[in-house]
Amino acid sequence: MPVLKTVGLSKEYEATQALTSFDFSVEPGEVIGVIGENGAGKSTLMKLLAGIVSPSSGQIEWNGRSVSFRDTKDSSRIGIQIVHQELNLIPTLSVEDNIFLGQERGVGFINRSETRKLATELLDKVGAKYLPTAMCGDLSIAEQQLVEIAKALSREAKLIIFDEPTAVLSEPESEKLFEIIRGLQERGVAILYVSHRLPEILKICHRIVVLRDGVKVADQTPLGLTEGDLANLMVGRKLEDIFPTQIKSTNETAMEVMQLSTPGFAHGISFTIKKGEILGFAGLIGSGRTEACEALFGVRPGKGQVSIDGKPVGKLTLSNALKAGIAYVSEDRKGKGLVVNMSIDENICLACLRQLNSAAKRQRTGSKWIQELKIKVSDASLPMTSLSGGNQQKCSVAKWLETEPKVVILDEPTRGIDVGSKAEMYRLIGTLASSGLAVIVISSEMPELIGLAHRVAVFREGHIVGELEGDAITEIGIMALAAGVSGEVAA
Amino acid sequence: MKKFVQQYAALIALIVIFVFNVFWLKGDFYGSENLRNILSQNASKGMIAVGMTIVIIAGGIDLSVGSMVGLLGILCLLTLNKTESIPMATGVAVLGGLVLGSLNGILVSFGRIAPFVATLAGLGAFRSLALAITNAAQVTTTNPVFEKIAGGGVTVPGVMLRGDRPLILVWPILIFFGISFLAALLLNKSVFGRRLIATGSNEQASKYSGIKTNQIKLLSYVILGAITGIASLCVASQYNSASPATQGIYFELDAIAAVVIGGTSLAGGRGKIGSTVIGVLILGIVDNMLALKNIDSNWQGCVKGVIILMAVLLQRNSSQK
Repeated sequence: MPVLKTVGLSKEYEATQALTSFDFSVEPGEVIGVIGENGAGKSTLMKLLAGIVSPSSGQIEWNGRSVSFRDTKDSSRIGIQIVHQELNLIPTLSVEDNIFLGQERGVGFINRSETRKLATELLDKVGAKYLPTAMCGDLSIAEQQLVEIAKALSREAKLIIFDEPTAVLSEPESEKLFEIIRGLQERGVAILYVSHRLPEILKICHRIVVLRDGVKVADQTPLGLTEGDLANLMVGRKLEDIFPTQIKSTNETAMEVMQLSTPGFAHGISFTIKKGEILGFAGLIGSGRTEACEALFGVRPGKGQVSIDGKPVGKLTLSNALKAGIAYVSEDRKGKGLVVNMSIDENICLACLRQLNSAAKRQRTGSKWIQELKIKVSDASLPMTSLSGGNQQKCSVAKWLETEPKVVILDEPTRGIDVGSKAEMYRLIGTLASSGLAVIVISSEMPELIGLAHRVAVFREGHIVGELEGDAITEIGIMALAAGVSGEVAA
Repeated sequence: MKKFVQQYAALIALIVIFVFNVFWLKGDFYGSENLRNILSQNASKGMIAVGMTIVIIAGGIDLSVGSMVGLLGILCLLTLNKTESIPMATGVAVLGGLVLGSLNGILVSFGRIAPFVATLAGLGAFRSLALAITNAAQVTTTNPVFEKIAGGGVTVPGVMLRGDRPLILVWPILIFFGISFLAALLLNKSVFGRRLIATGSNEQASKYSGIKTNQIKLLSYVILGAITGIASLCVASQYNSASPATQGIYFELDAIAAVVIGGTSLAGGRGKIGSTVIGVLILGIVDNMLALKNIDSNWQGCVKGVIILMAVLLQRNSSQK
């Protein structure tokens, strides 16, 4: 008997139909991948199952009985748990207090010995290597995710929903997570696995559900399916090759960086990039890629000789970097990239306010980029929050293109955006390079670097440990360098 | 070493100030009567600071407590003069505190008004009510027992002051320490304490964990309100009167200052009761030192300002993490 079944489950928000008549069922121990573009209805489905919102029509059956949830407490009580993408832990509480938060052991006062004993058992089950008394805020993101899973298990979860669990994990950490998921599955826990990363969906799921515009368009085993098939199902049209054809770069050097360092993160970073070249920066999370680029851009203290078109940039400060023509699009779109409650045109013009000193000029500039980058919005004066992730990302790129840069650094340009928007972002990167810009792409998604870059520099522990070019850019090659396995062995 | 200093900055500062005064002011300072006076003069503010710590950990703040001390003091004495009943007067102060605290709590939690704004309204309104009720006139009492609340206490055996007077630890001091102990117990050992920290640290996550965060926030204001009621009783008894314009004025700022000096983050989600008690003692000793040295009291604010800034700078890295 299926543990969960939905019948005609629908949800509408005002005019939008977020989920339409969704039928499916989940058997115990089954791992089901849920994919779809942003806005396809994945998060609505999750919210309905977790009791965060209630359905407009249709019903949820749990072990054959119809159920309805008033809030997350109800869904949690019967055994549905979500491991959210943005982890919901309290950094100022210990691991054990986080695990039992909201369902503490003890009446009135915490029963410390019971809490500790149960927490130790749970941490053991998920293979965590830290003490239950550790402060959550002191743990790495991967370690915190294990706390979330332990928390789900403590509530005797029969169904765990993972929301983009690997978005914040490095490859080895993801591998470990897959092992844990396999362990859960053997214990009869059903898993809903929501992710943008198609290879891992194909790898770990028994069944894949594809959503498009709130409708289920496929529900099948991954047998014989390819990433391309899934991408096509998600967008509903044949994707022309996701990556643009590479155009040969020029031979003119655009930027030369010598001995760039930033204390504690990166040392002795030297590289050059030609006009029209796309240079990929690969490496594990924490390998110093972002920090090196932040130092180059002058927003993090750093030292080194940088010259653009042969002219030295001088001291690495933000104003020197801007003058020399360096632009950096941060990976942290909401935190460092955009002022989300300001309008689209104000955001696009934020880096050039000295020139764009009237509202009329800013409106024109906003509209110009909306047209040029095909940002999907009717009016540049709408707030940034009215855009989807992919379109917001285009705006943050537009903001820096407006500074007329010579070198553009894109840090994780496709993080958290759907396949359709990704393809557009790749096309944009290709166009930028072919117009003679030097483009640096920092990415943790290896297919992205392989598909886009002329050359890839691999970071490990704050150093560039190797460069790959042309056909030598392979996942194995990058991983070998990034993880520190010798190149010959991997080749 | 640096981390150690950051973590225990408040305690170290207290010891430094204490030792400094022992050498500078000698017996004037460390005489048991003076030390007792430091405590008794700051006990009421100290209680409020402890309650304020709970509200701040839950992510809130309460600017209305000073005006509450004024209003509740007035109500307490009016009741006393009418009924001559100490239990009635006490009841009015404490229950009044509960009611006003609930009002703040409801506005902040279910009313979803920013804590600063909601309690700013109380700051103005409670003071104005006190003035309106009394027509801005002081209320006094001649009840001979009422003054015993802040004047009576437990005699410390074996210690004699000049003129053969016994050393009395007055009730407000004992209440202050009692409340501090209970609050620390509540914060560190109880289920409510965990939920309080969780709510102040990440409200969304707390909700997803099944915590009714509105109830937690409401309760934090109710606790502070009740404590403020007790404090207002102590203050009224200490002066044997209540003046609507000045009773309890700036108590909210002193309480917040003590919390900050203790190292509790105004962002919520972390904090210690013991640190706040240390913050109260630091402020009290500094006041006392200025008074003993006959330094113009107009300079008090400057000295406090410098101390607050120093405390925040010393603890910056540890609390930023």
